[in-house]
Amino acid sequence: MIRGLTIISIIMFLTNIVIGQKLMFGFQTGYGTYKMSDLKSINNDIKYSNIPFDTKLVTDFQAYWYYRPSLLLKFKQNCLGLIYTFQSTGSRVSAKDYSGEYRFDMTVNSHCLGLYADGIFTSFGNYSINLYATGGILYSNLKINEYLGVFDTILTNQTNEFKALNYYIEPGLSLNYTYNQLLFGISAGYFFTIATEDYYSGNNKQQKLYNSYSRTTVKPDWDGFRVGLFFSYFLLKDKDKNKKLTLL
Amino acid sequence: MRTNKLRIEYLLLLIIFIFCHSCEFEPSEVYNRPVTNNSTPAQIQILELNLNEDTVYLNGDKTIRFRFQSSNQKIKKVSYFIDGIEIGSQYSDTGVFYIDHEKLSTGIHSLEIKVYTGSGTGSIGDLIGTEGYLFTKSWILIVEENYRNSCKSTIINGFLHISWDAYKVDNIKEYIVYKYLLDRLPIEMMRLKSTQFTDSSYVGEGGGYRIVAITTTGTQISYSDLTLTNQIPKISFRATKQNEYFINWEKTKYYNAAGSFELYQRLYMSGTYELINSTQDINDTLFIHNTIKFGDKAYIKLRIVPKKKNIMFSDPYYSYFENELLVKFGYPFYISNLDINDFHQISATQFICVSYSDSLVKYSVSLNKVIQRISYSAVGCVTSEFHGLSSSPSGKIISSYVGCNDDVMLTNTSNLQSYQVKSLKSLTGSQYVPAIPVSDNGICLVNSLSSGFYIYDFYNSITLAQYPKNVKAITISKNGNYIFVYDDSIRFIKFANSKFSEIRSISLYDASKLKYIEYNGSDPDQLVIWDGSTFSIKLCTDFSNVNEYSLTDEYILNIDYYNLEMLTYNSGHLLVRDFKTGSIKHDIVVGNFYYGSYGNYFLINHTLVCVSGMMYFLN
Repeated sequence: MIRGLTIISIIMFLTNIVIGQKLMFGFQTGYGTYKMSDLKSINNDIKYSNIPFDTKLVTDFQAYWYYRPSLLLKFKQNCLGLIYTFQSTGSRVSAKDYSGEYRFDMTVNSHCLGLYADGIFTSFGNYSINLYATGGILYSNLKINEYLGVFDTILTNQTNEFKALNYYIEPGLSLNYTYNQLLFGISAGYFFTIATEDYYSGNNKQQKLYNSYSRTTVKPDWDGFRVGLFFSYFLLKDKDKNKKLTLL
Repeated sequence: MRTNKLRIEYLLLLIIFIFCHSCEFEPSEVYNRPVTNNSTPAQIQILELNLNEDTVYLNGDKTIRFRFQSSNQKIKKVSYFIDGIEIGSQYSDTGVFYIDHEKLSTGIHSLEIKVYTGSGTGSIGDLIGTEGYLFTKSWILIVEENYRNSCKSTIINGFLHISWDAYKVDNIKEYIVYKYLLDRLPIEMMRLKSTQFTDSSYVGEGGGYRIVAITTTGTQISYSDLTLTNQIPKISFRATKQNEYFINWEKTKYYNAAGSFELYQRLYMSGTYELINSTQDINDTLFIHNTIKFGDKAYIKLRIVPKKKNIMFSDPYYSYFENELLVKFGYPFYISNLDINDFHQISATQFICVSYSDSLVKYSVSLNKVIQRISYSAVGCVTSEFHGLSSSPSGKIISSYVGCNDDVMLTNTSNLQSYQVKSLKSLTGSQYVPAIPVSDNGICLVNSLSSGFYIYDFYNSITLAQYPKNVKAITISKNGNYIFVYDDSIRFIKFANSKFSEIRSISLYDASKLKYIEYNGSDPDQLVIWDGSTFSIKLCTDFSNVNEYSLTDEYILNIDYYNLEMLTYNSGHLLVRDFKTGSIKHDIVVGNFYYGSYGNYFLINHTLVCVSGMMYFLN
């Protein structure tokens, strides 16, 4: 949380030293699909493990909400700025009856900080269709929890955490509507993960997460569609430029 | 106003950030497994369990075999407890438990077997083994006295007598006695009701006996074991100075069980044994071997044949009834376990040889003991090493290479410690290690690889001369003034006043016939030469004959100049001849002869010495 606030403060500071045309704050949320191919293979391989009872994969990295605040400079035909994305999903292998419960949960989230750019493809009145692209660093966190409890006894409750730093790029299309100091829209894009680093534990990058059956390392895979609604609010206009230095 | 707006922006950002993180995905769905609710308690059926009575008597180790069957639930585990402590468990409905008698104290204990089944519901608890039914069966366990080591043996009147403690329970029907050898499984020998018996066929072959008790119900109880060490009499060898050879063996303790004593012989490097003696007299423990030859090595083994039928006395188990000894026939002397080599006579009664390559040994034949032994540790070398020995004609001085650096040692044989070591590589060359012939006064012949040889005064470190031609020096006389050299012929050369003068030249054709040539060890002005048919004693000064006689033996092995005797070999005979006349003084038949640089026999002080460690006294 503190690290997130620090990042936002830096963004705010940077925006105040930039002499922008129209500075605007935006927020987008929507649904993302997440490929997670390596993590899904771990779930598939659980059936080969020696668990003596039947289990079922009840959640398998389903589509889920993403959240995306931004700070952008609006030019005449383009928009440029910083954008942050938080996205998460997860899976569960489950078995439960009167005697006990087994869970194998994997929850994964990522913080993405990138540059955003768009341009007007066509416009009509207050409406415009824009092409956009965003790309930057992708910091993923994975938490794996295995739990087995029988009657009143917890036989296993083990949690392991992993992380990885990679890159991403997301091209897309958006439909914008401008009204006074507000901008509304709908966007659709595809998120590509440029995975160069495997999940590792602690601060030791050699302590990697392995699929125990295929003996291969596991990489983050956030590939998938991103469809969402957004609005933006113009914080500074051209006429405010001369007052810029008083913001701090 | 602007400041307030900025604070609102910050607040908005904070709210959004918290909102983002509060909406992180958390899996919540659950798979509710179907289970069976109408399962009934397990009914356990005993298919096999060799614990028939409610009270179990333990008089030895016991193996419990079990096989259970459950009505509908799977048997997960079977455990057994003694006095409430789990001793063993198996995750199967069939198996074996082993009760170690020695680990339990004599007295009453409890034995309990618990059978664990699942609940049959198919629940998680059922399937991982935390939910189920328990079937328990208990016994009273009476641990009886340990009879395992109660079996004892004694020798009574020359027979092996075996007895054991009686089993303190009434229902013993009989005992079975098994007999075994170390590598032969037990064979049933007899059945008896008594707790003792005499094995009149046992002659000390070792192995052991196993007693098994049979109850009236037919149960076999492994009862007691007796292990016996092999007691076949040891054999020994003794030789006298009159060259008689005696094979002795100890008297057997089982004298009434022994039928006969057989002696077999296998010559060293031969494959077959031959019977050389057999006796039924238990008091006869001596065999005089008068058919063996001096210097022979042979394996002699004693076999005891039981008087009565012994179920173990059969091929290939005869070795249990035998004892064997490797015998070197001759009066024994000991320098090392290996054959000695580099023999050199140094006085009338003493010789020098190399033992194990790492020590120089002086041995007295008259005293029959080692007089002095030295080793030498060269700097930078791990081992001591003597090689390339040469002796002066009288044996007064010995030259030898020592250590890994191939330095040269000269030592006076009157005291081996009075040695000097030098490197002669500046003369020989770095990689060339020729033997260094030496005179009694320390004058050495040092051959070089390509530039003739040097006359070198070892003790004064002076090169006296270099022979001008590229020839090899062979040997030097007692006083250092006569030299044999070899190039296109063999030349006999005088060295005096730093000058060389040739006395006689022998063509290579004639030289090829020479079989023996050396200086007289006792007379510095004489040399001996033998061409295979004529033996000559010559004067060094002009090569004229002092004495000459016919000698047609195969080899001259050595000449004892101190005692004026010569040892030759011819057709399996060692011949001791008079040095001056060549007449035969002794003729000894030998079987084990070889000839390399030296033979394996030499003569010193009227004694034949075999390099394997035996002597033969001629007087």
